[in-house]
Amino acid sequence: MKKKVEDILVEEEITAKKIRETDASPKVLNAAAQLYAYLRIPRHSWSVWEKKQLKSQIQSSIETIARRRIRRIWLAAASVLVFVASGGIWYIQLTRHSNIAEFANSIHENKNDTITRLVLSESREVEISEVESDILYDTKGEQIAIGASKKIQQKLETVEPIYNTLTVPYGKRAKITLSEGTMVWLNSGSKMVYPAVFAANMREVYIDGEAIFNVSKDTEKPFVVKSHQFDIEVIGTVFNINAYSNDKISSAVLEQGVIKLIRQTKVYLPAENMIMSPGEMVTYNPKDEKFQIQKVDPSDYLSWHYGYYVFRSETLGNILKRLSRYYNVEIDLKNKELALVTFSGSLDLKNSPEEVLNTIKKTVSLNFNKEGQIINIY
Amino acid sequence: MQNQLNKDYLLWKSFKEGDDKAFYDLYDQFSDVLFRFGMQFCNDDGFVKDCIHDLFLDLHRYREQLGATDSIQFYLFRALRRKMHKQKPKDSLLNLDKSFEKTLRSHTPTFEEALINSEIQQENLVILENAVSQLTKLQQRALFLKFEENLTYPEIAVLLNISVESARTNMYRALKTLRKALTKKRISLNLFFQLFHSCSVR
Repeated sequence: MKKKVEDILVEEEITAKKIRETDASPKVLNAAAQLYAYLRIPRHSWSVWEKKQLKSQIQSSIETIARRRIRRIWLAAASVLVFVASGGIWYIQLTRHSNIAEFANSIHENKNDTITRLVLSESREVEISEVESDILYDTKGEQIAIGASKKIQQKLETVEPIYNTLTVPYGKRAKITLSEGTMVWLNSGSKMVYPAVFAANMREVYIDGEAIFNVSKDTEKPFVVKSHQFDIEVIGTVFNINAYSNDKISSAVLEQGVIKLIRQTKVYLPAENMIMSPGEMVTYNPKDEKFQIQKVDPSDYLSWHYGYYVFRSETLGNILKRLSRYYNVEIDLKNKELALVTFSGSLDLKNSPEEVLNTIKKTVSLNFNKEGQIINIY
Repeated sequence: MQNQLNKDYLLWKSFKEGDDKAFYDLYDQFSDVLFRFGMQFCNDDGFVKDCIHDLFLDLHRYREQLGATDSIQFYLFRALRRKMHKQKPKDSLLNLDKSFEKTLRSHTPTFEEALINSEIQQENLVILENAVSQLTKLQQRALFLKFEENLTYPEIAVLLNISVESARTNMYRALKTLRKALTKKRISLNLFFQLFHSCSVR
């Protein structure tokens, strides 16, 4: 079969040399060479001046952003942030997982575990039996004190960051002080992955669950909390995060200062950023993939680490879910209509689950009984 | 080719590691092709420039989070494509007028360059310009990506949102149309010139 011009040019990686070496009539080769030369001519070129002009625009935009960022660092004195999550299973595949998120997702913890576990390098595992545990890292990240009496050590001699993992089962809580002084309170059923010592230029941790962060201020090293739905960038502040990966809707509440939520998407750049102001609550709904903002009293969302929950017109369904996690008891809502009834008030978590339910009972008409570890509500 | 890939990989890596020189090197190397690429999808040069501006700001800001790549050009094409898609210009009718004007202007260097490299006869240029403008937008873009930017069919397919097969078929049809225009018109032009010659001789 004789080769036509289009047969020659349609090939991958065609070059003028390849055209000349093709086996075809001189007439076809000439036409192919002409067409090739024509198609290679750049269209829509811009002038050197246009190129330079756009470059200097980009340069000045970058400088403006850098200046604004420095101002923001000064503003962020102390802030409080809460994530509240509820609902079913939701999962999004992120193409841009950082190392820490990858590491966190590679860990499969036992959901029915009842012991708080600290996993160090080389898979060394420390079991902590207290309901409320207290963990303290020294500045080098090598010495770890657990409670008042227990001390352990780990060696950190590699260049690669060594991640430690703290998992807190339902019914337990933990407080941890990281190597640079940041304090974190982990609520029931939560997991945190963090480097034993932070990198030189930034501090990055991954959270699955709920936690309050009191971040020690270091303007040189931004602190980033990653979660399954979005990241939070903070610079020396106090905040609480609740982002259970088996929950659907997440939200954040800010008390003081400024923080930025970064929503990671499948595309190569974040689709959405949200800069929050004090007293605001941002809810993330995976259904429409949007942040929604509203005014709240932030202290309501921080109270749990002092031992009580505050609810304002919260549905009983959500309240019971939180209590179930906190006390690690199964709560079976027999009367489904009650799930949407709202309750306002404060619940003392030092009390037993029955006492807490009695408090709710004062305003919401419900009955309950306890069968072993299960509380039935009807 | 392999060399180019390694060079890309290293440039991208040092850019990601925070090297500002590498960042502006990226601009110097790729802004020309990005502009030409953008103009294939929208003839509003101001809009294309805005998108390139925003793209580079994003690159600068999120550099640590970007994935590795050994084909920066393709990576940037895809990113710009997405950016332009997201920020569609509001008044497309107005842009049409502008684009017409732009098309006329942008052809001047094309002719000059063509004359300088003189591989193509000038009358063929007119014929081909005409023939190209008769092609579908998809075909025009496919031709541009293959011949001006040296992309492969799988890459073209991704950028134009079509299958690899379809990219190849469209390319083949476009080339065939252009070849036909070239050979057919050349005959008629030759005839025309012969007539003209014989007239003037007389």
